[in-house]
Amino acid sequence: MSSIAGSKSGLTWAVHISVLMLVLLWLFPTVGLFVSSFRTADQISTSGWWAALFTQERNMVLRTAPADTQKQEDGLFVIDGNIFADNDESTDATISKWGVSSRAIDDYVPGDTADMGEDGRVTVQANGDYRLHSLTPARFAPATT
Amino acid sequence: MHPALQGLITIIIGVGGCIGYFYLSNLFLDKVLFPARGPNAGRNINRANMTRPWLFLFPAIFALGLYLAYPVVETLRLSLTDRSAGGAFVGLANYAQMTSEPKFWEAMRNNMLWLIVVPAASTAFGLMAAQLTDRIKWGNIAKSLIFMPMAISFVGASVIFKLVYDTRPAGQDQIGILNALWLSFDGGPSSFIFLRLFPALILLAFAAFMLYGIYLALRPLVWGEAHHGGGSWWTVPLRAVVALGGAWLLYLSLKSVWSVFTATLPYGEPQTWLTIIFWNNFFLMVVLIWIQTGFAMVILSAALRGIPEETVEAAVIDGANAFDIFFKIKVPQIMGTIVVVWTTITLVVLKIFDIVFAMTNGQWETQVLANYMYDKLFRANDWGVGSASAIVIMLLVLPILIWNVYNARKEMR
Repeated sequence: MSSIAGSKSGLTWAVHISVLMLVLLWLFPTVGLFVSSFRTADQISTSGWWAALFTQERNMVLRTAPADTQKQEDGLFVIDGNIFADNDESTDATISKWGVSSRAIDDYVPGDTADMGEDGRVTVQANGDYRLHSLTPARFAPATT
Repeated sequence: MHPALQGLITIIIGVGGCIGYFYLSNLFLDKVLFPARGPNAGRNINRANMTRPWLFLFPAIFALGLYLAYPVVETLRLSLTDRSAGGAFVGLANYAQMTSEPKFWEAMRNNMLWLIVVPAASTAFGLMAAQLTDRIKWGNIAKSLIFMPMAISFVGASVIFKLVYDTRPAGQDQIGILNALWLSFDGGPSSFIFLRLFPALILLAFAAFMLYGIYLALRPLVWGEAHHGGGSWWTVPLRAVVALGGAWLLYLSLKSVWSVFTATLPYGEPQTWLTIIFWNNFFLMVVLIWIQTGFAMVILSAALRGIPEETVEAAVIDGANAFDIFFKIKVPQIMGTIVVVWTTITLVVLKIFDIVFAMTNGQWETQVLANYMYDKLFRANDWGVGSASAIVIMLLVLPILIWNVYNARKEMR
């Protein structure tokens, strides 16, 4: 009808928007399957596929470097390094919360120091750098992101 | 032997066999059976010419008979016999047993529901998409995207929608988008707008549309124009039936507007959509509508393009608005195509099996005839009742098939 003089509708934008809505509605289920095809079975069954489009929160159990890497500084036994690098994980993740026990995985925020009694004290930064110091030789410390 | 060589030999034997059959049988007819010489030469030529078409038609008729007619007759025979009694003839006992089962009537009712909703919704969405994308620049891209589900098998589509309808217990992350959307409503103002006001507006629009349809159907009767527009005698009862159906839908939609505002909705509880009795049928229908809209849109889009521009221009000059042009100029001109699309989708719906089989398998009152047949034939191993339901499906398909072929031939002329 655009070819007919004087009949140009003022509602062209409404047509464009409704077609866009219709197309998105029709595409949406397939996109869900498409995105799901790139996710692991675990991810598919625990979170919606749209979550893959945003930052993911993931629980990880990581260990510090083994006890034989500890050094002695000022009378303390110290293990330090990067918690991700020590566990061969990708290092572009950020720690939002961590804990030293599987029963309380969100006790601490990055920068906090956890007191593990006779096992010593551990500090974890957001980028995964940690420092564990103890009066006695250390064992391990799970950190959770 | 190499597979390619085998294939080549098969092709040679197949094609050569066909040529050989036609050539040699023709030769046999002319030289041996009815030779055009001797005392009866004239009679023999006539007889040979009368036999020849049948000779040439024989392969096609044989294949049709073997693969089309024989299964139908055999199914009919099986539906009248009892396999466990050694194939004894039992008359209509299988049909009697079938009609006494509530599951059969549930399947019948659901099939009728599918039959009304799916072709109507697919054609309506298809027509809407065709008209909207007709004049915009990226219309072809939009059309291909809407057409894409046509390329997905019914089982594949069922898997996709299973993901949409999936349910997790309350407290866990939902992985189905429908439940995730549902849980985002909490009874606040946004819930009121999206779950009560918005559906009510859609229902009111539908009611207004029905009112307009009733007006269009009844106007010629009331104004006595029925015999002017070349209408036949049967258009009068047809128009009355259409108006009555419209009135019923109008009543239903207005009643629903009321219940939309008064219903108590279970906010915050994840819903297992496919087990909600009665409404789960509609969740299954959405899958088929999603697939078939693309088909309707493509055919109707071609029909819309075929409308002579002059008729639209004349209507514009006469002062018609966009709605008048669409409903009174365009739709009547493509009515034949709409009917063909509608009946074609109806045939698909009558045979619907995969979606129900893959998503609910007929549980929670979603049984349909084809799945009922499969259930009886291959699970219960009851060939009699299974064949009886197959015959029922065929009887339901047949009139629509004939009507569809009749319309398609009329379109082609």
